[in-house]
Amino acid sequence: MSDGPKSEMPFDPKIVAFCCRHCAYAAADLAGAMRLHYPHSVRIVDVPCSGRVDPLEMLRAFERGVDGLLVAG
Amino acid sequence: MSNLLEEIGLGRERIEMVNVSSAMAVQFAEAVENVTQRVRELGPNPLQATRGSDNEE
Amino acid sequence: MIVGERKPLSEIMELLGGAQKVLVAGCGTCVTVCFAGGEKEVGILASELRMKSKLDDHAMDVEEATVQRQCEWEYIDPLRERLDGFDVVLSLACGIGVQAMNERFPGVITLPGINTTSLSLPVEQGVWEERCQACGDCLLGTTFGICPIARCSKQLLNGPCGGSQEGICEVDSDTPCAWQLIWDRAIEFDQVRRLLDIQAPKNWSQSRDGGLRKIVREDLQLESE
Ligand code: SF4
Ligand code: SF4
Repeated sequence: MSDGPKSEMPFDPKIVAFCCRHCAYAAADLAGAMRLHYPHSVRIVDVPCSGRVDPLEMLRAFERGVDGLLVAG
Repeated sequence: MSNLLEEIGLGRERIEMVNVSSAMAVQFAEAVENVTQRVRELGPNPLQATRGSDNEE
Repeated sequence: MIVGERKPLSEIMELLGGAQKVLVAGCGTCVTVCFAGGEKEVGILASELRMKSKLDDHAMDVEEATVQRQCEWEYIDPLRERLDGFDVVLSLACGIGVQAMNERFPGVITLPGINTTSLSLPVEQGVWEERCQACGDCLLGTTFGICPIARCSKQLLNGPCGGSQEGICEVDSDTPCAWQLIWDRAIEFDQVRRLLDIQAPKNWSQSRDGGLRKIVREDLQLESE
């Protein structure tokens, strides 16, 4: 999970996706099974419900250097 | 939440919220693509650069 | 409950000036239940401050502490040890908590991170409406449980005024006329007679107009010597 050396390559944003276990996480699973292409730089976090994700967690993610967030439920 | 990001100066565009059901794999992949594309245009999280210099202290 | 609202980040940054090490101090009572200054809001603000100050090129060291009640010595005393090395405390408690901190720990300045706004009722999720102004001489017993001091825009004791329109206050079209509410209750309880006497001017000396208010209960005081 290293950022790799900085180069002139277009940058690969580190995205965290908070996914509801029952909806979006399952959708992500299905996307995998269907062999759909989507950016590999996304890190999926499985949460019991997307309502569980509060601003504090989102801020913490940015504080640790994440480039973008997706909340899906 | 997007107001918080704006207030801090990170930009409200760094966050996306979508509604997908378990059968909406295509929409999910699209959402990931969208947010990745948008963030790519915005550039890296500016906090990353400063994080490195902090460690040097 | 006592209700407050977070100050904007820009104002807080300005108050903090060049502080290097900041303790964000929350309170676990009123401001927790109105989502202004509890543990969670402390976490959010601390995170915001860390990020904002880094982006502004003078990274602050921000720590967090929340006590059960910031307006009582017993609860804030344990903070004493934590204060070492901090330039400033940013309190998310009401104005009482902020002052308690300054009085108890005079060696470090405690700044307010919220605006204390009112004594309010959470009428629905996310909505707080003022109900009392602590006037010191409660009238609710003669106004059928509806406070004209807090809820009538003109604080009338004999209402309604001529601006009351179909139950709505002329000052703000989102606000019900307090005196209409009072009359409605009087009619409901068949006690309109009680509203017909003209109320004499209120004794405001027990309110703010009488200067600092202080209650001394000798029966509760610890015996001195
Ligand atoms: S009459 Fe005075 S004490 Fe009673 S509710 Fe109104 S402001 Fe508060
Ligand atoms: S309309 Fe009713 S609430 Fe408004 S000022 Fe007049 S009496 Fe008070």
